[in-house]
Amino acid sequence: MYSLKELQTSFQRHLLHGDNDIIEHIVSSQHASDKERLATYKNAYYGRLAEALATDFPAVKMSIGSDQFSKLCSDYIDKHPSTDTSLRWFGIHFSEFIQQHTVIEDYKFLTELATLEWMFINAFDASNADPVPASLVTTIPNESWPNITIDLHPSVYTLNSHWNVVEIWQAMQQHQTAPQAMYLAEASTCVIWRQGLSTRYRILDKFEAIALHSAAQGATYAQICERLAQSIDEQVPDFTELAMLCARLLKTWLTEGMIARLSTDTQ
Amino acid sequence: MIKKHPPYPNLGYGLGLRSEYYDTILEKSPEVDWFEVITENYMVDGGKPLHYLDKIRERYPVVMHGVSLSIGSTDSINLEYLKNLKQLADRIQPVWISDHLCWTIHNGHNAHDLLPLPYNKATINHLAERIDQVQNYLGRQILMENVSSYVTYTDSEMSEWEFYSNIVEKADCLMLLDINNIYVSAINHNFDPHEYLDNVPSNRVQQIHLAGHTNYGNFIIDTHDQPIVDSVWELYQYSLQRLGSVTTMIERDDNFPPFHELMAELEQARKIGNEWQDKKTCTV
Ligand SMILES: [Fe+2]
Repeated sequence: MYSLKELQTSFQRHLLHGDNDIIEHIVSSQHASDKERLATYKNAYYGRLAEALATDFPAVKMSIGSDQFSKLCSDYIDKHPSTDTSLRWFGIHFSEFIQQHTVIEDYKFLTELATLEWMFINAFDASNADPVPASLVTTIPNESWPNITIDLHPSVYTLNSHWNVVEIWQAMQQHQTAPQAMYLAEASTCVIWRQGLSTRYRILDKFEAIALHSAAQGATYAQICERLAQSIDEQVPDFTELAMLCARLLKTWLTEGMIARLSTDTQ
Repeated sequence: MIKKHPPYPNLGYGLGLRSEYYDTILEKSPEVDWFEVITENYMVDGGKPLHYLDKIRERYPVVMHGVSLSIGSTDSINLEYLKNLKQLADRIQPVWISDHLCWTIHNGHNAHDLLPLPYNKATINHLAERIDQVQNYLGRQILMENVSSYVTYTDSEMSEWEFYSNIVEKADCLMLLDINNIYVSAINHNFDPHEYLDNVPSNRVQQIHLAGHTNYGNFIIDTHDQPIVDSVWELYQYSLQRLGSVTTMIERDDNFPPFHELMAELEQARKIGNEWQDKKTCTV
């Protein structure tokens, strides 16, 4: 007799790798053979995990078609068996896996598309935090502004993409024909976050992207303005205009519920 | 020495809480007595799932039904999971917590399936010990549900109902009797489901599950995506003759029908249950 541990090891080797030593521990009957019975579990195993990936990465699936997606899933399932108690996290390595997979040769944009879809999932159930109301800014004394730091809402994610994956994703969401994948002359930044219960996204212009990245890295308000100034490589930047730009961006983020805390602590 | 069982109230007739029905439930406040939630779906940091759960909990009693406790595993009990389970229970105050008599995780890898156990003494001892550990951690009795199975191990030494009954007695936990799973396994393994129902300790049955399945001719798969079949309704009726009315819930996990169709099934269960309402559970 096998110990429970040995039995589970064999059973799992069957599920994960198709090894058949478990068969001698299964009773066969007339109306279903031992192989047929075991296949119920093996099919369910692959089916359930592939379904989780199809639910989490619908645009990836649509981009490469069902057959290639099945193959990709089955390779992924072999390489990254689930280690979490919830299927919620099963796709955590998917985009990185795609980057190493041969599928990337024909679909160079696919990693970025998978990353985008995963960010939507993360934003969907990220921690709650009450967004700072826009009215709060009027209570901050002028002299405190330079040292203010911004805590973004826990659901805020940004994706720097070199491909037009946001347009592709958007078209697929709206059941429209997706545009041809295109390498962008200049990388684009998309912000994804949850406002209330709705997951939102928006493509940022160059300045907002710099400002948001700086804020996420913990830069002070003054440092954000400085980085914006450095990015204007023309003549001497107009500091009044810069300050206004910075204030406008902050106001946008506040009204869109992207900020969880404005911290006025000086050090 | 004789303990009074079951320790929890009879909640009446409930449905599974599925995101497809969140808005209907909040808009129409249907006459469902309580909801069962899949524990793992709400072990998240925030957002919609917890928002809806909190809202629905304000109006209805809730019980937590898990799929990843993996009580039959030989890996050590996942303490991180237990911690999250307790945290969620503290938040939503479920009337009770249940999971399945099976294993799902081995060597840290989760099959996300309710995998069968060999029915023998060693397994009984192993599970009773682990259930005891979980109950001590949670500070409450839990319910263990029988699963559908498609294989029989050569290492099994007894019937499924002997195995199940022995474990719950030894671990002093409660039963979540899934009538559909009993029916599915009875067909797949060629036993009489009535014999199963005649032999479970009636004073331990806290809850019943009803569900649909898919018949593949030579065997049946527990898919939870179809209406409940007549044979399962008959078995339900048969169970209540012995058990009296028991908290009952209908599981639907796929191919979701309009809400009123589930309500119609629930009313059917309620009607059968009402016939046996006055029968007291006293015999062991
Ligand atoms: Fe069940």
